[in-house]
Amino acid sequence: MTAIPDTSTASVFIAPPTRSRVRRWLADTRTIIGLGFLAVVLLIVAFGPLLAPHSITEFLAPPFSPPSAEFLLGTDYMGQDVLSRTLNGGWTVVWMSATSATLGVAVGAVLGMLAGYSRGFLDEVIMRLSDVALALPTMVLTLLFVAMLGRSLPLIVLLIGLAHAPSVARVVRGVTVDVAGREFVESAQAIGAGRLRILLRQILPNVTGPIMVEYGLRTVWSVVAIASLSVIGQGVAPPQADWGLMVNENRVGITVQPWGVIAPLLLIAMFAVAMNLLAEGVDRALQVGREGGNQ
Amino acid sequence: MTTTNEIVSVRGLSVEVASGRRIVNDVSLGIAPGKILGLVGQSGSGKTTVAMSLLGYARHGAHVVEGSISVAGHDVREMSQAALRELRGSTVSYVPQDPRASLNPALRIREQIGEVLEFGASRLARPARLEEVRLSLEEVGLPTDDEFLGRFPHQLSGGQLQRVGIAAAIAGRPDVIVLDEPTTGLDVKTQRRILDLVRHLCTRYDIAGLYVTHDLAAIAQIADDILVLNYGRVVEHGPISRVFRAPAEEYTERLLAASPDIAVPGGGTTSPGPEERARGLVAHNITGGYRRNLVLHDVSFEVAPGECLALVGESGSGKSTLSRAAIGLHHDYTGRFSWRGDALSARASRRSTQQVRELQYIFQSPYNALNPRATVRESIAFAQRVTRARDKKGSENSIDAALLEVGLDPSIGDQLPNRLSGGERQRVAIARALITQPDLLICDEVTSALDVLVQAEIIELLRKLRREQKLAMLFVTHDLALVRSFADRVIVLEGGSVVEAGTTEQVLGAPQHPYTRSLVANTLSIHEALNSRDGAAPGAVQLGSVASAAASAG
Repeated sequence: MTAIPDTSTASVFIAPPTRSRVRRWLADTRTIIGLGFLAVVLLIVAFGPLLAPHSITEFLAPPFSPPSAEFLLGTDYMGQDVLSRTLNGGWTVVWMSATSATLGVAVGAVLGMLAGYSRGFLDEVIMRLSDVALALPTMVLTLLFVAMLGRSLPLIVLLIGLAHAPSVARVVRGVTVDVAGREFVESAQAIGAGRLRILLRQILPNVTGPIMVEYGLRTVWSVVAIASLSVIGQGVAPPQADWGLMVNENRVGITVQPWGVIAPLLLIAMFAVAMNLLAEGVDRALQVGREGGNQ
Repeated sequence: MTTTNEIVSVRGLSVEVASGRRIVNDVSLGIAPGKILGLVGQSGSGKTTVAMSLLGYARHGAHVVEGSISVAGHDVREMSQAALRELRGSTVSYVPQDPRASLNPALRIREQIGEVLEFGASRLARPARLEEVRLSLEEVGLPTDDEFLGRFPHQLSGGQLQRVGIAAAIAGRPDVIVLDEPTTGLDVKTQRRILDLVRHLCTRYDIAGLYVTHDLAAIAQIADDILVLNYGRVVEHGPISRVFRAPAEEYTERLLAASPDIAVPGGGTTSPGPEERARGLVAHNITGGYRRNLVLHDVSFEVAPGECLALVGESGSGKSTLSRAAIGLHHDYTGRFSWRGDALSARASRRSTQQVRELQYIFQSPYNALNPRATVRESIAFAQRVTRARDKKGSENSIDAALLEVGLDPSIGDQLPNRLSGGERQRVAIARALITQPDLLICDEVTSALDVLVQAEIIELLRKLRREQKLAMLFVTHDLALVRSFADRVIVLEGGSVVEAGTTEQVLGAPQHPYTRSLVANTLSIHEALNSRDGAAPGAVQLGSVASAAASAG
């Protein structure tokens, strides 16, 4: 029991008004850490190619040479410079995973909210279709399409994004069903508010938590999926540098020359952690005031 | 108050939470065997904290910093966890507020009650245990056959569950029993029976009872002494008849004044003519429910402009379904509603903007009725935008005006609902309805989730709106006492049918239908309780009726 004086007319508020949700998002240490990580990754993606000391395709030294003054991070399985390849290899994985995660979460959230709020026939159709989609092996399907339509990165982004949608829809539907039964949603229905309006103004702000968590997760999964496709030669093709590809190429030499794996892996991890922190920060900023939330 | 044979004695009790804030401050109380002390206070007054201290329990983060707690000769503060476990159930037992939540849904009734006798000082072997379980059930007026003993909690009604809770509490033959609002959420008949039962058991077995509640009428009915708490401090402490008749403190007086009493006349006596009624909200032969399960049978009523019609019934009577149908949230019915002579569509989304503006709905729970992620201003602006209710002065002005109208400072507009108290939230919900400048408000149990004083404030606000804005109201409630002081006319629903209708004074003053009569008779009244106390010898509540009443309880 907490003593909340019910003075009703003259309340004293200690908390700042909720005017600036963005400011509150930025005031969170975790958001700052996330932004910092993301900045490092993006700076490398943007300026790395300019800073690279060597060519990324030349065989400069014996494979798996340890770090030296000339090759700060050593060489990889083909004797190429790990540092240069790392500085060059971020662009594809970053844009592809961010785009496919955004696409998948957006489509999944819309379908999930629609199903959870409408219930009945629409709910059944959306959820049964998503069951079917979940039952199909993503990778095999992606390969099938790539084989049919030709290797194209935007196609891969689209396929991976859509593969995320059913499970996101499932999660979002669950929360939506709960929120949709609460009285403030009924109160909007009682004044004749339309479905779209209720979904956007009443439901969406209350399901951002799971959506944001999904967004963070889906980014990571996208990185994995894209890297896996690269390995089997369907994503980024070998002489090109790519973090996902590098991890797989240099795996075999991890005991001799770990930097070929560690450097790209570290950046992938930083990217993933940054996306998670930022996404969860958005949710915390929206629910400020709730116990255990932001100060 | 302070007698030598007290079995419970608390002196100078203070409890602090981790932040150092005192939630209980210098509270002293004593209870003699066979007597019941009523502990009254609003939410946050510390009443549960005081009650739980008798069991040597403090909620997480709170701890007793000062004072002594003595129960049946044990110094509770000095006892080890093991000794406390022995104490609980055998010496002090506890009846929680919500039996549905406190009974283990996977245990049969036999095990629920028998558990108390498995451990602690009152432990018994299995056959003896079963015998004791049967005795306890008999004591609370429940069946004792094997079929009943083998049931699970979900197979029992709310009243029966609370009886099981009480049976479990008395099974260990405790000296002291702590009851935390055990009748909240039960309908009036069941509430009265539970109160009589507790009174009877305490007297019969010389059990000292501590009865925690916010309901003064329940206290007047059951307790010998009363202790009023506010913000963790004792406001007043004394015998019921003295404190209720001549409260020494202003706070107690306010509590008493805020408690509506069914025995006090004050409702409407006149009824508008048929033409007048047809110009308001009319329900024509509503029959409906949920798929094949009909909960409304041919219900008709009218609310004339400016009039307040109370829709009264117990839980399950269909009153919420009816009011939801009227506002267009429930569609599964035949018959129709009309407003100002025009038919209303069954769905709110198909009604004209003007109809939506003119009819507004206030929900029961102020905690659920506001979007937790929207500020107060955003919530009201949403209603304003959807209903296109803009006045010439612009939206900001009228939102401020609506907030002022319900007695809130406009600066509250930038807050999220979780920063507001229950009363403030309910005011915001009312402001959100007022923004459309309605002619009729449908109020669905709007005060039932609020404390007595806050409830009185909200009722006062609704009165003011009726007076100043000539608002008509469909006032849905189970609280007859509130109806008596507030409504012009009443219709009584039982099992989805109207059993009685008329002016408030006709229906509540001289009820005709047996169902209405039993509702009125079972509604607790401070006045009646005090009067019957004067008639009977102290402590001797009519026990004869208890056994038979208990036996027929559902």
